[in-house]
Formats: sequence, C-alpha cells, structure tokens
Amino acid sequence: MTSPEDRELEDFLARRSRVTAAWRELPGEEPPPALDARVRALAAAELRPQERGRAAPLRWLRPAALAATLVLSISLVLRLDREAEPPAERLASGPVDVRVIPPQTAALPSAEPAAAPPAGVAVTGMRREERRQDMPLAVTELDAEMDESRVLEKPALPPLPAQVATAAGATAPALALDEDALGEIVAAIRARLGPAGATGLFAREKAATAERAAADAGPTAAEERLHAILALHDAGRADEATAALAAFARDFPGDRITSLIESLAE
Amino acid sequence: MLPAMAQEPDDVSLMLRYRGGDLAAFEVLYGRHRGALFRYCMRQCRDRSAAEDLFQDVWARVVRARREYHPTAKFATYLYTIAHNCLVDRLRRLGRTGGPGAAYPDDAQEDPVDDAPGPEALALSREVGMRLRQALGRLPAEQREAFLLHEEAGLGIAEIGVVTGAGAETVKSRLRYALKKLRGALSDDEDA
Repeated sequence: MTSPEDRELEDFLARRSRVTAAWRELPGEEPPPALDARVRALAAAELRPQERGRAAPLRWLRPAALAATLVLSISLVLRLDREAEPPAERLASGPVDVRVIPPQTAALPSAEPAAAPPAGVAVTGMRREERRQDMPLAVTELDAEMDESRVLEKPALPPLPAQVATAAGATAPALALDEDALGEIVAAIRARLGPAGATGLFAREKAATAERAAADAGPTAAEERLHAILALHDAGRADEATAALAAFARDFPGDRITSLIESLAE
Repeated sequence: MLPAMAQEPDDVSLMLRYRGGDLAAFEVLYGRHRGALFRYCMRQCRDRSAAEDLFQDVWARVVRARREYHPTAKFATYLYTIAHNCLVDRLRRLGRTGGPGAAYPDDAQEDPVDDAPGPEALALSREVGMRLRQALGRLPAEQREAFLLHEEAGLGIAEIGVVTGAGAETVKSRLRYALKKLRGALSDDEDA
C-alpha cells in the first residue's frame, strides 16, 4: 500500500537509500584548524569571565560578610553591655561632672572641685571607687545603697539649699545612718513639721521652694533646716540629707531631732 | 570495546559539564559536531567565508548561552535550532526578507560552496559529488535543510520539525520532494 516515495523516504530515514550512499561518498569537509582555534578560544574565553564574575566575588564576599557580621555582633554586645552597666559606670566613661557647692556662701567662688571634695560636694559623675576614697565613709555607704539611676537624675534637681550646704559643708562630722535610721529620722521630721513637710511628687518643687525661702529669710531656723533636709530626702538625695542631718545635729544640739539622730547613728 | 563506548558521556552531559565550567567537556562536544555542522553551513551558504562565519556564530551562541542551557531535547536538536536561527538572522541582515522559505539563498544555478577538496577526494567522486551538490543547491531551501538535518545532523522527522518549526507531515513531504530530485540527479549521472 505504500507508495514508492514513502518507501524511498523510509529507506532514506533508515540510511539505506542510494542518495544517502552517494552523499556519504562525497569528501567530508571539515572546518579549517584556524576556525577550530577560534571556536575553542571563544569557549575558553566564555569560561574566564565566569571565573572572574562568579568565583572572584565569592572570594571576597565571604570574608566581607564575616567581617560585617563580626562588626554588627561586637557593636551589639557593646551596646548591650553599656545598657547593662550601672549608670554611674556609664557616666564614669564620659566626662566627669562635679558640682561644687560653695562651703560658706553662694556668692563665694567655687572651691577646687577635684582634689578633696568636702562633705558638701555633690558628685554626680565620679567613679564609684573615687567616691569611696574621697567621700566620708557614712555618705559612701549610703551612696552604695542608693538607686544609681537617681544619680543620673540629680542634675535636674535644684542644688542644695545654701544654708544647709553651708552648715553641712563647714565642719559637720561624718554621720553613719542606715536606711532604716534615716527613714525613722525623716518620719520624725515629717511629724514635727506637719502637713507642710515635703513629700512625694512635689519633693523637687519643695526643695526648690525651701532653697528660695532659705535664701530670702536670712539666718536658718531649725524648722527651715528640717524642711530642707526633708526635701532633700524626698528628692532622693539621701547622702546630702544625711550630711545635712549631721550639720543639723551639730548646730542644734538640744533639739529632739538631734537626740534622735545621735541615738540612731552607728 | 563495547563497555568503553558505553562509558562515553552523551552530548547533554557534556554540555552540562561545560555549563559548569568544564572546558574539556566542550572540546569533546565540539569534536563530535564540528564536521557535520560545518557541512550544514557549507551547504546553506553561498561561499566558504560566509559558511565559516555562520559556523563560528553558531558556536559562539552555544557557549554564550551555556548558563541558560537546560536539556529538553537532544543536543543536536538544540545545536541545529541555533544554526537555523543564525542562518535566518544572517539572511535577514543581508536583506533577504520574507517567509522562512524565502530566507535562504536561491543558489540553484551554481554550486553554493567554493570547495577546495583534496586531489584524492576529487579523484574518487568528483562527477557524482558535483551533480549531487548541484542538485541539492537547486532544491528549495526548506527541502535542502530537511535533507541536511537528517543526513548531516542525524535528526529524525520530529526533531527536524522542532528545528524548522514545521509539522511532521510537512517535513516528510519536504524530504520526499528532496529525495525525488536528488535521485533524479543521480539517475542523470548514471545515464550520462
């Protein structure tokens, strides 16, 4: 049923036809060597950019990625370490901020801040070790129990009332009071002063008011000193409050608060 | 001998190795196909210089496209599809525009190749070869290509259809016509 053309096609596809045989007898032409060389050079050249374009970036990409990872990790660790560090330590790494309250009057020129700070010096950015060496023992111990975060807040508070600072900074002996004793004394002061005593959220404003009142009123009365001490305590400035209590005890030896201070002092 | 032959890598694996950067694999692949592709180019072009340009262009496309190579057919089908496209592009650049059939040179009146065969080859089948080549050159481009793709590249009906974009029956028809004319040329030779 198949036509001669179909049969010829089948023979051709099976490579049995006369045409195929005659075609194969033709001399086989090959590309000249120069053409072969050009093609091989193309193939080789095509691989060279692959080595430069792919492998080369990988050679520097890995170290670069590693370095970037290390830098990020180290910076993250340092940041976490700084955040975990106590605020006082953080401040110590920066410039030290020492505020000096004049020992006699606010009008006096500043005392030498660094060498040997008197009892009235408020140190806000000093290293803990330096503070322990330079400050009176009692204040240092109290300071160690303080919430260090409050130290950071100190610059925003009003300075120690001049009269209190004057009294405490002159010749006040070191006073060792633990937290309970200080609390008891403060409670006694608060009871004595009545509802006018500085408390809670308004402590800072009270301290500022007490400072202004003290500056305006001339010689300091016992109640005004106690107001100032209470304001200092409520403002979280326990070390300054303790120093002021020591000065108060020296200046008002017969006062009931003085008796309480002496009885609770260690 | 058979086990050794069985261990030879096929074209697709060689091309994949070349894609991965193995130049030696390309050398083997090139050695397998260089002769047939060169003859395909020689038969499709008017002169040797154009055939060499076409040949180099085809291989250049193969090596440039190696990263995108994905084996979906025989490597020969892939190679001759590139060759077909290169030829069409080349003829378009030369100004021979039109359909696929018009894209090929009408070189029926002359031997399309400026051959320079050796004296031994000339002595063997000079007369038969010249008649057969002239008959091939007189074929329509589609018939000539179908013949060459089977005879030189070893492609079957379906693969020729893939390369040329024609259906199987069309390819068969082209081959039947081509064989009839080529057989006629041989008969003329025998008669002569």
